Amino acid sequence: MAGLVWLHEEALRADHPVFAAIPGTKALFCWDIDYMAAADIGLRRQIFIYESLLDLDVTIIRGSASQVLPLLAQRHQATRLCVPDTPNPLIRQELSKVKAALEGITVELVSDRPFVQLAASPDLGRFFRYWNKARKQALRRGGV
Amino acid sequence: MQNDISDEMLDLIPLETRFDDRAALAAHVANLSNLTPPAEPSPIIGGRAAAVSMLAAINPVQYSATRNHLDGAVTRLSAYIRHGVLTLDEVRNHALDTVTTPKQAEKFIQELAWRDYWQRLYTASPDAIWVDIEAYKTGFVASDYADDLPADIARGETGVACIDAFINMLLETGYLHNHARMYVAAYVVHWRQIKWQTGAKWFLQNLIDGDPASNNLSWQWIASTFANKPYFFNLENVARYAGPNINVSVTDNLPLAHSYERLAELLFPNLPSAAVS
Repeated sequence: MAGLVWLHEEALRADHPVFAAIPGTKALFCWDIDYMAAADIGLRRQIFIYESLLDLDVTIIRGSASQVLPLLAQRHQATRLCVPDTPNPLIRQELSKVKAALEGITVELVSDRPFVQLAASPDLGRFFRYWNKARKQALRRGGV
Repeated sequence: MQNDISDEMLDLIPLETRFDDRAALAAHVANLSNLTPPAEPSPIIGGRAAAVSMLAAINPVQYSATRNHLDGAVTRLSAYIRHGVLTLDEVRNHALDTVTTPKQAEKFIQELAWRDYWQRLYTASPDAIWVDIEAYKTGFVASDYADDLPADIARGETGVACIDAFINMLLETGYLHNHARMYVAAYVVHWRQIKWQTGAKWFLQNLIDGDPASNNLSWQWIASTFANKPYFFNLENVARYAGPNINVSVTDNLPLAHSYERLAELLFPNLPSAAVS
């Protein structure tokens, strides 16, 4: 089954679970200067991101994801698109546009390994309320 | 079907990935954004190999003892964690491998947990990241704070020597020690009465590790919109932690050269001093 990985700036390493979700699929990074301006990513950070991409098996294409991915998916006859999960509203907005343009394609958000695995969502009102719930797992390998 | 993206499939041409050196890479990236390349390459090298090398050098025990000092044993892993080059999980696991009991690494791991905490808040309310979580507890309301960053702050020319030194570190390297970030943020919000959002945006634009959650929520903590009281400091505190290369003379840092009690009166005149002590 043909697939695509949209790698974004929050998941710049080769063992992110998004790659295991579609083994052997080359990833795409959309170099979108409008996104970078909107996300307040200055030049030094842009250079850091680009330098990090050079370590990865990734194709860097200039343009927004909503411009580039539908075109590629159509030409590639892709049926799946996997994306590293993120709370970033700007990336999620772009993903919504991509989804709208990719009718019939399964889009999957793939989570990274957690720091701690908690049974219930902790009280986030202040840090130490969270820490009191998370401390035991945080001090163990794997956070379990 | 070939499960790959080959150049022939695109009218969009893949960007260059081979460069003679880091300066050529920087020039390429700057050109993509029509910007002038930095004069000096960043001391923070992108990529997994650099990240793993930095991770191998961490010392959680020394970190615990010296992390508040600007020349202390901080790890400088933040940019790698921010962009997913390293995970909090693997950094924690490595830290545990370097100590004999987890307790020895607890302070270090707790700092990792701050990032996890900020991310959980961000995930719970992604669109609220630029909004005051609570009211200011400074005796002022949000509309009392200015929207624009004054040019002297943006250029590191405030006339307060240590603050200017920290701002110039930020502008020249894209990195600032956490304690220096706190000093600059408190100066911007409380001495100059600028909205935390303005300062947070300026930091994001200049920090290589700039993260909307960690950055913005830390600014809110300084401002008191996500804390029970505002964070502020005095020159004596800077002198204790800044190390020998920062000018902490009284004459060059007059706005900071007061007792905490006097600063509370000057910065938060509408509050009883006990409210911020």
